[in-house]
Amino acid sequence: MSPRRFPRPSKALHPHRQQNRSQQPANDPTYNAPKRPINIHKENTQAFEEAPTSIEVFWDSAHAGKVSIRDDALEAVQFAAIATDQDINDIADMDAVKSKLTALMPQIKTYWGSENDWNQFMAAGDLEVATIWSGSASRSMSAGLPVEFVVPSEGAIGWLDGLSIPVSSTKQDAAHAFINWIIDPAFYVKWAADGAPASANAKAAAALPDDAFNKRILSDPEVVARVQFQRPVSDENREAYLALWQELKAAQ
Amino acid sequence: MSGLLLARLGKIWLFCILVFLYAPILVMAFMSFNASQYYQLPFEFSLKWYEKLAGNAEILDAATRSILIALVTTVIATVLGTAASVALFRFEFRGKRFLQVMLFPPIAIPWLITGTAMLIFFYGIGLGRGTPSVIIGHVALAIPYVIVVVSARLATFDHTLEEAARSMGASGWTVTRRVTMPWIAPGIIAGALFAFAVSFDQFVVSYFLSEPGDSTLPVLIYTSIRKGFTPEINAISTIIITVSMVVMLIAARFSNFGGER
Amino acid sequence: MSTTLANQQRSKIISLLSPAYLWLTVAIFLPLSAMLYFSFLSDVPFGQTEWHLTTENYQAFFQTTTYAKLLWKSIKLGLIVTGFAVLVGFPCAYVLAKVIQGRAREALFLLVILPFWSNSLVRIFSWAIVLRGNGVLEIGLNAILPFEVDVNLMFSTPAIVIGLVHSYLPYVILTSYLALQAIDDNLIDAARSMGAGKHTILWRIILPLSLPGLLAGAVLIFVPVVGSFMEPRILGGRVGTYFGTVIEDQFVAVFNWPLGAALSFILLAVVLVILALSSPILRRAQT
Repeated sequence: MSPRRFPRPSKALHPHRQQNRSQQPANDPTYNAPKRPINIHKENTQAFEEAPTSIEVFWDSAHAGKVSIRDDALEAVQFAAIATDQDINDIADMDAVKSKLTALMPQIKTYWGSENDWNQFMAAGDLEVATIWSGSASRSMSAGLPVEFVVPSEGAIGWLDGLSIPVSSTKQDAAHAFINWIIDPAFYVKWAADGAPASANAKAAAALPDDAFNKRILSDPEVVARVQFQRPVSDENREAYLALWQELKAAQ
Repeated sequence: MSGLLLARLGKIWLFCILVFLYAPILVMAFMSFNASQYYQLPFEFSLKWYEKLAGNAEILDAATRSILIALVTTVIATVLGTAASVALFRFEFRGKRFLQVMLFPPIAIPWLITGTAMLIFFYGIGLGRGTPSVIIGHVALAIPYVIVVVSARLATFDHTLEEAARSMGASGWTVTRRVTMPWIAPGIIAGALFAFAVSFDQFVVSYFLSEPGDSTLPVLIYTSIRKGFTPEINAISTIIITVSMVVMLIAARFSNFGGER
Repeated sequence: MSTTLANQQRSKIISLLSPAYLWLTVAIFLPLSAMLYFSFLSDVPFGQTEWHLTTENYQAFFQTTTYAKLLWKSIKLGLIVTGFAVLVGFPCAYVLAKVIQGRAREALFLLVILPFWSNSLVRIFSWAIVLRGNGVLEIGLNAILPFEVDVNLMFSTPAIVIGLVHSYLPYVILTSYLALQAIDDNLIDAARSMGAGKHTILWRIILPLSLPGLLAGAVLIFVPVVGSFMEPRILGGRVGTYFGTVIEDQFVAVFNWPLGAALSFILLAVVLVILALSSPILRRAQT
């Protein structure tokens, strides 16, 4: 496999059924169960009287210099696609994306690269509104950071991770046991208490307490309907997005 | 301005620089006693990171392993680097300029690229992962620093000293041992200290070449920033710095490597 | 007779040089050669990927202005950081070599380098705590000063420069010290007794004689700073995009190793050209 095509680092989610076939793309939605949104935004609750509902809050001059998105070309472009009311998997108007991102740049204080960055910047009050993965958000909230997670009315980026067992595996039974364990409701409830991604197993999701992050925010079908799931991205698009993102960053 | 006033101003300057050099170290130590996981101020005293550290075999093992690897790296890199510097200094030969220029690629090319290259190559030749591979990589990264630093000291060396010793009948080895080595000792010490720092802070090579479960401290630190970075890292760093400082000050008390004549 | 001497000398050279250079060859030069080869490929040759030889990755540098702009930004950063480090570090080295006497010198010598036995990432996080708004620097200044000041240096070019100068200052201090300490005090006394002023002594004796150390330190700072990525990324925030961060992205974010390798070798070539161009000037200054 080309390293260029490795799925990018993400929180592990789980398939709703076990698969024995090999080499399935990890983020192919036709193969995995529909999963929950991962990448939305979130803000320092001290900076807001009331949680915002629109993605336009990132462009609000009231938060100039207190905004952050992840340093990732694909995510930046798809984020702007949502803000310009486009399909993230089939962006028709790249010029609109470019001008939307150009307008976003002066708002940004810094890009974040890891959950740890994000937590430190939020804790220090450097940021008021930033994108974040839902699993990370639930961990930060359970660690006591004063932040809230919002799925904007315009939508959000979601993606799917899957667990696959190569046909050549010599430990198929152990792999099955592992997958069964990680999607098991009893385990998931424990995991979710410390901050976990959304589960594909409907029984596991239902077993959560009502105030659990993954139930409170992500179980609403209307919210899920707003989420656009990432599909595989062609090399040409990936390169074009990267060129755009680098150009914007270099101009700062 | 009188010389005395100038000397006093100079000492104040040196003191200011030491404050600058130690500012982040003091903050690091300070935060190891702060309760907040995210380095939040105001400061709230707590020993919990030290308590957690005491029960964290993973960090303690990694720290021990890092220190051992750094010590081995320092010894090998200092010996090899010093020998090469002496040859580059004492002899004129074809290709010398080329060898000197070849010291720059390892310094100029970001370690990330060199580390990736090592990973591919070590796998290609069947060496694979493990502590020996890590040490091979660290030594190679440290050697150019040792050579540059020792050469900087050698450049001040007066050839006539060696010639004088030789004319009085001293053998080549005696000249090296009794005249050259004492002169370059401060350079060797400085080179060794840098070699230790290069190895002890080396992440990429260790990350790619160490075996799972055998990680070094920097590997542990960098992988933990994905999620669970905690001030336990500050605690272990503070302990290491404090212990090294005590060891170094004792060493300074009983040795003379500053080049005092 | 002269052939045996030449042979003896040759065997000495080989026995002193070969261990270090063989080590470097196996662990650095050969791997980097593989990387150089990769930089001429269309894709990494692992598994079943299709690849062919190409100069596309080098052409990419010239196809947009992005890379050239960032490389120039990185070179400027290298010059600024080296300049500050020399201005701050050389006087410090002079004091250490010529003013401080006795055992204190060894202790101070060690204290200068000790901070670098800590992890660089932890050090940079600590700088962030110092430099940010409502951080240690602001709290500290407001405790001392009679008036309120607002200090927020975090996520700015000054923050990057402070972090980098801090990271590389010991190189120039120690290499300058090694050269300064070697200057015979009698030489300075002799010049003084012959009526040389402070400026003359500095410009005609101290600087020329300590130049090898000063230059070694400057090179050890300039060369890695041009390719640095961690300090700019963490301390620079929005303005922290440099040539090094773009290379890092190619390796860790988009996994385009051939392009990342090509950009690294362009960086290396430019750095070597700068060193080569400046060496005649510096050599003239030395005499």
